[in-house]
Amino acid sequence: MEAAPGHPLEFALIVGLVLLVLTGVVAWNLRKHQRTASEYYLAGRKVTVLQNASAISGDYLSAASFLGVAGLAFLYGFAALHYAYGFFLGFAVVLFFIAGPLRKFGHYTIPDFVAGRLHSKTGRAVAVFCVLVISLLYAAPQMLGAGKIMLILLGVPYEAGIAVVALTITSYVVLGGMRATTINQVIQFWVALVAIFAVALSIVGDGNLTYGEVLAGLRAAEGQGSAGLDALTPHSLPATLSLLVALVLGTAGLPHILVRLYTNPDRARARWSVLLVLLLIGSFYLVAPYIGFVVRYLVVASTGPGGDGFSQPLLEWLALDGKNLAVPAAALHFGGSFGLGLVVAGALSAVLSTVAGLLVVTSAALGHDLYYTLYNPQADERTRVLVARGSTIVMGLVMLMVGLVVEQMQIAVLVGLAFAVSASTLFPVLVAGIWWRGLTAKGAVAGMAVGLVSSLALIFGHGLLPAWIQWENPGGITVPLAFLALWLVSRLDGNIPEDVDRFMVVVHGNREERRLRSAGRLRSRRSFAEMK
Amino acid sequence: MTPGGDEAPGNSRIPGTPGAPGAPGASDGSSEAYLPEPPNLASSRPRPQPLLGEQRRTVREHQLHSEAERERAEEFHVGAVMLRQRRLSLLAAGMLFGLVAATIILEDLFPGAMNRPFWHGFSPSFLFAAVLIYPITWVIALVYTLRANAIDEPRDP
Repeated sequence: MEAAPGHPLEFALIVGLVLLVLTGVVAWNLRKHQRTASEYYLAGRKVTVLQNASAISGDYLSAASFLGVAGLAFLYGFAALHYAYGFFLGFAVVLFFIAGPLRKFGHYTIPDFVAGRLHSKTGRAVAVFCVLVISLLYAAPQMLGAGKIMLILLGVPYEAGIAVVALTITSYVVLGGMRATTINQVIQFWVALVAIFAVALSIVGDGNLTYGEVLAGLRAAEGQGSAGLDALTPHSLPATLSLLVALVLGTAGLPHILVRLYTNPDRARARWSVLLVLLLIGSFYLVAPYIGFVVRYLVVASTGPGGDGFSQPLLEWLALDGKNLAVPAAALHFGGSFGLGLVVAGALSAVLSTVAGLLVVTSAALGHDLYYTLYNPQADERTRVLVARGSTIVMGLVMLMVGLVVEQMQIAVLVGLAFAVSASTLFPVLVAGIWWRGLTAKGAVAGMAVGLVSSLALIFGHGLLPAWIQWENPGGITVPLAFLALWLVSRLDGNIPEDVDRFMVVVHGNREERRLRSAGRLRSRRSFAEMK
Repeated sequence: MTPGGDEAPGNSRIPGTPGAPGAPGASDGSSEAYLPEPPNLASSRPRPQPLLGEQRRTVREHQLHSEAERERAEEFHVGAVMLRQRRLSLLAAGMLFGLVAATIILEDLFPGAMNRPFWHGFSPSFLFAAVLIYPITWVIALVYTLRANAIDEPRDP
């Protein structure tokens, strides 16, 4: 088998197999620790800051990021930077507006938050629907990417590739729940980060190509008139801002990321976790575009007069799928089979960790939000864990089918869709729920519904829009629309939950408040569960 | 399950603190003794403002008797904490996203200057978007985290 030019793939295959076996071993060892729903969904809320930060980063660092950001820099030049820092800045919004209060609220899922804040079964049901839509939209490009990676890098047929990925992830989530998922995500994130840094360091070390030299070389070779290098915003200003709105706020509304904040023991540690995520993810997005620019430089150099760049077979291989093969091509050029093996491990890790996070959050939506809270609130812990495991198997099968259905679709369209829907549905409700007392159940439902419908309509009906708003991503329209609907309907409705002030005490109260309460200077309070 | 997980504030009184059972000045809340009404905690229910100086001292030192009084004090106190957190969040987000928006707008207005290499092949807009945005965000996020956690867990007066 030899999918990459001139380099046997045995090492890459061995690395991939070791990774798969390792995840299985971790899950098997933790299979008996999943006795309660809290253990299964939230790892008993005992995840440390470093563990959670690594796991969140692993959750977020998908194959689309691992291979795609460098690929975009290779193909489109400076404009790709919007994707890199847009993905990154989403966590700043999580830190500033969501992390602390959401963790203080507690519970299990994002629909729990909607239901707890607004006492609305309809609100919970719509939130569950949004979680499922976002997660499946986000899972689709992951499965598609996984299948393509297995096909291009390892020569495994597409269908077999996604079947292996779905089976592996479903098995270890069913066995080990959130704790096994967390440990595997930690391992997988560090494998991916080490892989990308190893490629970057090999470029600096072996190729002696610093960032400045690459940029200067590209400018010299492509000339000042090159659109790819001279414009950070090749599209119109509103289109660029709309894309950023979707990327930043979409990240801040992704349920599989937010639910991890519940796994920290307290609010302060949730904030420290997100800060560490910014450091880890930022390091990745600092390096990934650099690799893309190096690949672009080597392609230009290999076609120039000196021919000092990629070999001809490597150029032909890169032409198969430029977006996904930029990082593997750089790894092959500078690190040979060992470098390619590392990249395969990194890409596979990125796929496994992201899909596992999506599987946990979707199974919680079924097992906790639909079964336990809406259908059978009297279920005992054993039954809840059993249902959680069953939900995981169901969602694993659904993701496998999603992967098969989207084989011919474009990854970029699917990713854009997931971010637009996330930014326009869950994000407005979360922010308004945490910071605005005036939010009502009807307002929240209207906001989510308008956000969902408008983002789906504007992406699938992209061609029907007037030319001046045919933007790459409609977040700039759909997010304000969702906020407007949420505000307007809440104002018209006026049915603010009676316990809104107590809710605010729960999510914003501080140590002084607790001391005053203990001293009898503030009213004694029932627990939030009693309030409900 | 206790909402808030392990962090949910308990209702138990802290031994040794004023107002705790057995402590000097402890009260079960049934005393009818007159105490002056704390400023700004009256029935008009003003918009919460930061609880500082005299107001904070008043809430701490006076025993509030009726549940309604305690409720207003609670809303007042939490409203003040919420306001401080919201200001901090908006300030941090405003600084960070103001810089990003300014870079993009400047690039749109002055593409020549913003895309001209000025240092080791880097143009101003590229240097910001590819490199500087990360350390700037890290610094703002670190300061935010320290301050936000300090608001949540203030030192004892």
